[in-house]
Amino acid sequence: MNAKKDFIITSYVENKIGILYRVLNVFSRRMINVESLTVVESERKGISKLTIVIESEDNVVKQLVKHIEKQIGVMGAYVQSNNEIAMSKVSLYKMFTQSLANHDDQLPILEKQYVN
Amino acid sequence: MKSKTMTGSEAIIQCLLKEKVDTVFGYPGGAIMPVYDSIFDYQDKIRHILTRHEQGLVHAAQGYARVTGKAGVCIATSGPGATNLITGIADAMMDSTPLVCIIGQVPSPLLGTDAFQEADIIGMTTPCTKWNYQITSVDEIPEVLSKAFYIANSGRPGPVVLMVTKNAQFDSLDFEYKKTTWMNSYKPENYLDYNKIKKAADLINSAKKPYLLFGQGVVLSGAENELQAFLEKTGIPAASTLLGLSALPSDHPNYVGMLGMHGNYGPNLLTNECDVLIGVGLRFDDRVTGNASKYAKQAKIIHIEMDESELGKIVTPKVPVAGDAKEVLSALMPLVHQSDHSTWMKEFRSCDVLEFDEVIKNEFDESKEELSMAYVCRKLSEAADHNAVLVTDVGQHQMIANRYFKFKNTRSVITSGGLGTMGFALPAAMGAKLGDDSRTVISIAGDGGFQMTMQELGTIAQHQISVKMVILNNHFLGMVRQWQELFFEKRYSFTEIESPDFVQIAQAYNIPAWSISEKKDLENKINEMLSTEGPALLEVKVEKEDNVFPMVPSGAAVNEVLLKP
Repeated sequence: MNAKKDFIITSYVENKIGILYRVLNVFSRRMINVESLTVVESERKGISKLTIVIESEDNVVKQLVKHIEKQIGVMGAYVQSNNEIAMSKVSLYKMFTQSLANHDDQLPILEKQYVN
Repeated sequence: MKSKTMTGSEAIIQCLLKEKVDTVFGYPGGAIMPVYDSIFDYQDKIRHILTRHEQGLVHAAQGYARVTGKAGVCIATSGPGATNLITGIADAMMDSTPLVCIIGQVPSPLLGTDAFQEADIIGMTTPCTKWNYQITSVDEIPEVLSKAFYIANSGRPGPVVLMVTKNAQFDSLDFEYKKTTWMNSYKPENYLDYNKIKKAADLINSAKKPYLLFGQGVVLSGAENELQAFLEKTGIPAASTLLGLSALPSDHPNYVGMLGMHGNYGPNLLTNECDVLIGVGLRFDDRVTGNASKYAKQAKIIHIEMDESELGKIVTPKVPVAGDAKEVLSALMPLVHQSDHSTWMKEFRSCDVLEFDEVIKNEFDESKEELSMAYVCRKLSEAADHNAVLVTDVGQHQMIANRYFKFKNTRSVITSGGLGTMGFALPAAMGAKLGDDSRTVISIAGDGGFQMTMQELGTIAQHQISVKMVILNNHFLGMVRQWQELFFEKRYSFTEIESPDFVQIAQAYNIPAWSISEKKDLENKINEMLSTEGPALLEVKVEKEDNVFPMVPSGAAVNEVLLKP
């Protein structure tokens, strides 16, 4: 029996109405909760990149990926388990430029620590 | 600049003509009216069959598709018209039946406003379609329809739903049709891995007790001849799934019978004794495997299947081969050795003797007064010279008919396999007859299932569709009653069913009909029904509490198959 662990599924799909539902249905039908999901435009125009995190088992995930790949509108799907990739947390903050202007002594600190 | 010359609704009909569609099954309504107005002008090119309910039209389209191998075309209106199709769409998805459903939708400005007869059909059909799409602009029509036919028919076939908003049907476009042969995000062909083919051949050549199971994939890829040649060269015994029946003639020397919960004894029992198990074009459904954790554990499994997501889903194959049955069998053919497995084959034949003594002999006991379903089905098969297309509903009669019918030609079995949809037989039979008029089409239903879609007698009468309808009436919802008897202490909770006089019902539609309950009348009436021109109906009152055996009880392993309670 495989233990449950986190998996990251990356999928490239056509940027069209309804495809997200088709992909997510692969999980909900099997009562698998999606822990996190992001959709962004990929390097290729008209193709979106889905990044989905789920908790599951090795053999189940292998099957899920095949079911995602089978959906029409999906270009490809790949899976990594949590320990196969290095992750780091990045935070983004939105700040009013006005507040920076009022405290211009903070600007160098921000630039040095957070802005690449 | 050219003027826009064609309306969207006419473009839809033109697309159907380009795809060589000759028959459509439909039911009009508000949101599909422009299409109906266009189809009115094309009645000489496209035959439109008006059913009595949308469930009838979708099952008819399934029957048509299963007998012809071409996508069945459904036309319906928005809202309830579309929701009534869903049972058939889900059925087609399970049984890999190609369908293209063209459904009207409210005008696009009204989408999402709870407009009259608006329903989110895309949302509802996403889990049970191979593809679906909502056309909101007239310019999309040719490309989307072309894709729909390509997707429905190619690879592992399946249903496609197209919603077409009313404004897209009314608006005009410059019509140009290009047949789709390639898509960016859909690759129906598999890349054949010759290493795997070699490995499979080695396993087959070294096997002492090889055993081949085939499913509908053989029919869908047209691999009947390849399968036969492969079996004849290798001498391997072969069993069929319910949907694979008739891909191999019933009297073929390598054929050992049907798999599954109510399949034959040997094919189930010996699954757990073979050393190499070759699955061709099947998905190891739970009705075939019984308890999957006790299924063929001793065997090395070769699974040949074009849908890669089926490989490793239920059983873990030693050699998974992603590929079309025809292509893979052809590639294997030169690599496998001519061999003889007659000793192993004898084990199947001795199981047959056991099954005959324990089950079949009683069913055909001439001294028994009551008619058994098996007796009726065997006589029907014989009367049609084992050449008919058998269309069955779901339940006891389905298992019995498919067990006792014999088949000479492929595409002779049409039944609701995966979804198990009661009410399937009658409409599917009319679709099958319309698909191939040269064949005798016999539909067999129970008294329960027949009443689920018997409104289609109206369609059969109006279009004089020559189907031969048999009702096996045991006054029960038989399969549920059987389970209640065996597993619920005979508590027959709501399975006793009263039926109308089926003969009078048929006569109200001017369809010739007979009802019999005695053995002596059976052959005569069967022959009379089969020789009647046009549709005809025969009700046979059969033994009330007949059970279907053999049986692999739910949760049991295939080698725990029972010959009696």
